[in-house]
Amino acid sequence: MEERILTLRKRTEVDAKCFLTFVSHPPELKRSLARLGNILNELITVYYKEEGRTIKLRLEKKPFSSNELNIRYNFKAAVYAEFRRDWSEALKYYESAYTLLQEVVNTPVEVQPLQHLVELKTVAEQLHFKVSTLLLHGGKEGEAVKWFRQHMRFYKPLVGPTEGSFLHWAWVSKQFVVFGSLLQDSLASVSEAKSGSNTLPETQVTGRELHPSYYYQLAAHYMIQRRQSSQTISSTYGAIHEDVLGRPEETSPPLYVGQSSRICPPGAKGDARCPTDEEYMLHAVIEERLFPHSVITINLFKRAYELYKNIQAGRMGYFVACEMGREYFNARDYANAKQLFDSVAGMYRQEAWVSLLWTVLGFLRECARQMDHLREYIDYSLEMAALPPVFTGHKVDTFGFNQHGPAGPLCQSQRERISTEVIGLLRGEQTVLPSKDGQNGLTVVDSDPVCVNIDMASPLRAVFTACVAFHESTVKPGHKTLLTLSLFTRLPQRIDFQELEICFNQPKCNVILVKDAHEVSKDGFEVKTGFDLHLEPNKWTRFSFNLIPGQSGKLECLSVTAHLGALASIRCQVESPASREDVFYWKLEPQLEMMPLKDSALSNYGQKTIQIEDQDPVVDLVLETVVSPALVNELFPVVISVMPKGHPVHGGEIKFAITEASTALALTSPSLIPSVSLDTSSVELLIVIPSDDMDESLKSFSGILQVPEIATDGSFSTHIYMRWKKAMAVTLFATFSYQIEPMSASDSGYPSHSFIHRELQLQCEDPFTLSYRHMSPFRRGALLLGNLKRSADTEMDRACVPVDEITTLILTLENSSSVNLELISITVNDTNESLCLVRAEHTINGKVNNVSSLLPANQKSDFCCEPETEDVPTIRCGEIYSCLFYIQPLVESAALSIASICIKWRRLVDKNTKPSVDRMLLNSSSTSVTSMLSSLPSLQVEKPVMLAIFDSPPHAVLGVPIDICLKLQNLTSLPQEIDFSIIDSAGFILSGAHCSTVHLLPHAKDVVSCKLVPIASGPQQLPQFNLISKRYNAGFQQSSSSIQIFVFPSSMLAKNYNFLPS
Amino acid sequence: MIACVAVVGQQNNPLFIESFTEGEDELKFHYIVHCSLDVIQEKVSNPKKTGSAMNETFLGLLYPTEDYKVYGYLTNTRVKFLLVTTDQDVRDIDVRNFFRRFHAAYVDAVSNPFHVPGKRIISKAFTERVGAIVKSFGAPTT
Repeated sequence: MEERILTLRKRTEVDAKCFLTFVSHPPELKRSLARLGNILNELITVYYKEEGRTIKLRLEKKPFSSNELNIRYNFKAAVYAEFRRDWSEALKYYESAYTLLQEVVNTPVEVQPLQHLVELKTVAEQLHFKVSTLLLHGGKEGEAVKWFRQHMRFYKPLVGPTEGSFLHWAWVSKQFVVFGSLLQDSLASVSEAKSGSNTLPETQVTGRELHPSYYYQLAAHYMIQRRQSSQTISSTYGAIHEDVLGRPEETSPPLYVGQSSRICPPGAKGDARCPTDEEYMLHAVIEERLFPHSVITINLFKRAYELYKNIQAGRMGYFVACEMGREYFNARDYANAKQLFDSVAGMYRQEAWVSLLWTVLGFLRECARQMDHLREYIDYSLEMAALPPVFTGHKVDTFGFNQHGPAGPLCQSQRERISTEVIGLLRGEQTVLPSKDGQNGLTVVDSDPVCVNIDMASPLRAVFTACVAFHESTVKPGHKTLLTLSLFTRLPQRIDFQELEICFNQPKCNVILVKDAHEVSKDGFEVKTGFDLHLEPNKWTRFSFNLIPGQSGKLECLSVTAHLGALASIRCQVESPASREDVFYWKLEPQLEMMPLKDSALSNYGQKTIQIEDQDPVVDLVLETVVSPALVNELFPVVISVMPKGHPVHGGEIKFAITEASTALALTSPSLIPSVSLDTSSVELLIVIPSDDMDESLKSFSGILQVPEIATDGSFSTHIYMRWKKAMAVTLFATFSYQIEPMSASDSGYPSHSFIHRELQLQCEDPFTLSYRHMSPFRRGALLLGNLKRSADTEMDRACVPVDEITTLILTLENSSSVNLELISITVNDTNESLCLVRAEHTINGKVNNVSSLLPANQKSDFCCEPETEDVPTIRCGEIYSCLFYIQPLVESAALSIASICIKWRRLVDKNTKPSVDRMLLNSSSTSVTSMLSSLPSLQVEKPVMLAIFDSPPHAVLGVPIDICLKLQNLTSLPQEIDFSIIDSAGFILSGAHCSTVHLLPHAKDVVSCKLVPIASGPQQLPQFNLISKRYNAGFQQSSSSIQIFVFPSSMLAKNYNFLPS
Repeated sequence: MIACVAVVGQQNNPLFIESFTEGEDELKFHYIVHCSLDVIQEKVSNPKKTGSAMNETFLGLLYPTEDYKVYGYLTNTRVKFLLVTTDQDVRDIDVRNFFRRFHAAYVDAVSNPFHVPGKRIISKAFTERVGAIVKSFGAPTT
């Protein structure tokens, strides 16, 4: 193998490194290919380096007579450098070739100038492509843009012969497309940060120039220019016959880049010649006629539009969309064109670019005409006619159709022309020219009348604006109210209407304004005549007339329909002058703003709505009270009187509702009656049903009171009762809805239903304030551990009493109301005899129960006064009344419920009160007595640890000794040690121990006694015993009231008063 | 040469547009000025990305079209001034000077008690003054 290679090398004189063993078996194939690639790469590099060096030497010597050869060698050197991946050198030679080419271009040529120019531009394109690619590859986008700018600046003016201009624009367009594509590919590969860094101010390359959309947009522009040029050239050539064209097989490929195909004369094979400029042009025109200019243009615009959208350049995007729409329009694709123009128009409306909007609307209008869309044609025409003329007059004449679109320039004359045309069209007097031959054109026909709807968001608000202002804010039904309708138009000419139809939310109020009554075309509307129905441009036209609303509630003017003729109308949503805003672009116009109404107050604050108040009541409803204020739990009467005032009432009902006074609203309408009234736990409504037994006749009231028929001179009166559960101020609402006789309703014009609303403020007070106090029996004290605890824990307010001992409960009633009350009875209820015995002491009529033996409650526990008796105690305002209860708990308990008491009372009525009021207050029945229930306070009952019973004579005589003693009883099963001390009193001389200790065995008794000699007469305090239980560390002291004694000055005096036995 | 100058309001509405070319399409300048607002918006919302300094009223070159260059200026009240020029090489100082004078003329025009702020400017005096400023554009300042 080695020998064979050696022999082969010698014979072919090839270097050893160029030999390799190529194995085609799959496992070795890849390796062999890689080795082959490496060897070839090495050899190629060497080869092109050598070739490049040779060419460079030749270039340095500059032996060439023509620039063309120089360019060729530069190009070659650049290509070889590119092969070697020497980018900088390649760029240098390409740039050099490009510069040299510009010198060639500047040299005039006599022969075939058109083809020569095409060839040069093709070469320039090639060189520029190479330069741009290398610059973009090197990340020099800014440099590339500058190169492109120079490239276009140099070559764009080189249009060449006029007949070949479309070839030039095709070339220019291609330059933009290619550079845009290169830039797009380049930007896609580099990071965003890098591309951002190129927008440095010193490079003078802006962000837009670095964006491919800019180049696509311009490419599309030049494509349009190409189309326009080719259309011009094509028309000069006229029809080209087949015999002029020759046959395709008679041409051969070009020799060099940029040259045209050569023509082979028939029969002379291989002797091809270059075509003449005429032949070249003829061929180019034929090819150009087949070129889809619009499709390519639209595609380029679409690419630009998408890219602009991506960078959120909205206005640029809309501009491109506008251009695209123009191209669709040119290609007669009106549907697509209209869609694009519609999207663009919104933007120009929003930013008030009226000149641009006018152009777009012109296209839209023409699209609608071409598509036979009559309504849209009318809408666009009206909007155009109502645009402000923003251009000055002297410049518009220079504008042509191409720039401004089919509508021409925006000027007053154009507006007037369009306005006249569209108004004529609406009146049926004019027909818009047909878009195609053989068609009838656009016209309004009987079968399809046109109504232009203008709402608050419509762009047609400038065409027709309607403001309605009521001169009053409220009115009664059946009364006249004045309103002014103001109409305004921005159309440049006067408009006459046949009739004006004004619609309200209450259809009965709808009116038609006409000049003469016979012109009315609609039934069911109130007709008002004598109005001159025309509108002057930019002036408010005002129509004032009266309305008579018949229904209460809100009356709102909704729309105004202006009938231009029998077939067309403009329906406009009505605005209030207070909230009216002009169309944005008209707001920016420097003109004096006119008020919709002459009255500036109405103009600024006028509303299109009016509140129709409720009908004045023809029946009076009176709510009154006979006494005041109400008391808790009392049946409180409210008198309701219905009195017709010249009108009979044919049935009705009164609805009642109660709310807390603080939340009561000022109600003006029956619909405003509070839906949520107080629940029955606070206040309840009761009604008396006529019955013999008043207690049975009180029924809960549903809140609706039926009222019978009442004659004109009659009246209806009744009363309901209210009962409060707690003291609070409330508002009673009453709404009387009634029926009037239909005949009289039609005569008087009043509605058949009417409502009266009344309210009454009511106060309520508590009749009594209760308080309780417990007292231990006289001179009989018990030491209770519960009392000791309570002193430590102040929160514990429950009284602690000893079990099996009788305790006195003092109940105090205070009349806290502002009326005088009669106390009928106080009853103890709900006692449990097994737990506690409760008895009341009768103090009202002087009878005292025997408290030593408490009997069951149902026998003799209560005291009462019969209602009929005259000696019922009266408790006046602020007076206090007390009564005693004796309680003997039988069991120990932490919280023993004793019983409840029922206090029966009634309002003290003046004797001069009318019998009717007395009857109303139910004083003749038991229902007049009101019960007040209250629970007696619960007690803490416990077994006392010790009893201390003090004993002394009831009185004494001066100087006569008396004995007092304190009986102590240990109630526990433990021995107790009691320390006692006696505090001296000034009125007595005491004999005995002042202090000592008593030892008490379990359940044992002991007595501590001493003798006293009174030395002062009159009421005196006995010496006071103080006890301290050592076991419980608790003290016990006598109360001051229990040690009172009266000392007579002599025994004779005591006898006189029967205090001493005779 | 200055081809067109414009004042655009706070809501991007045109307040004043005047072109200084004979026989050319004025509408084209309306489109150019309107599209420039995109670049102004971009510069205002992303001052760092576009390299413009904060609180700088002069926005510099907004974008070049093929035949024109558009420069922008933004006042503190968000009123925009735009300049469309046909010159490819314009000195920055000249443009700044132009905008300064244009701004002064605008302030004088809107200070007119008969002018309602925000409305289109139709003052002849303002138009003439702007014409004079445009004529003296590029001339050495005294």
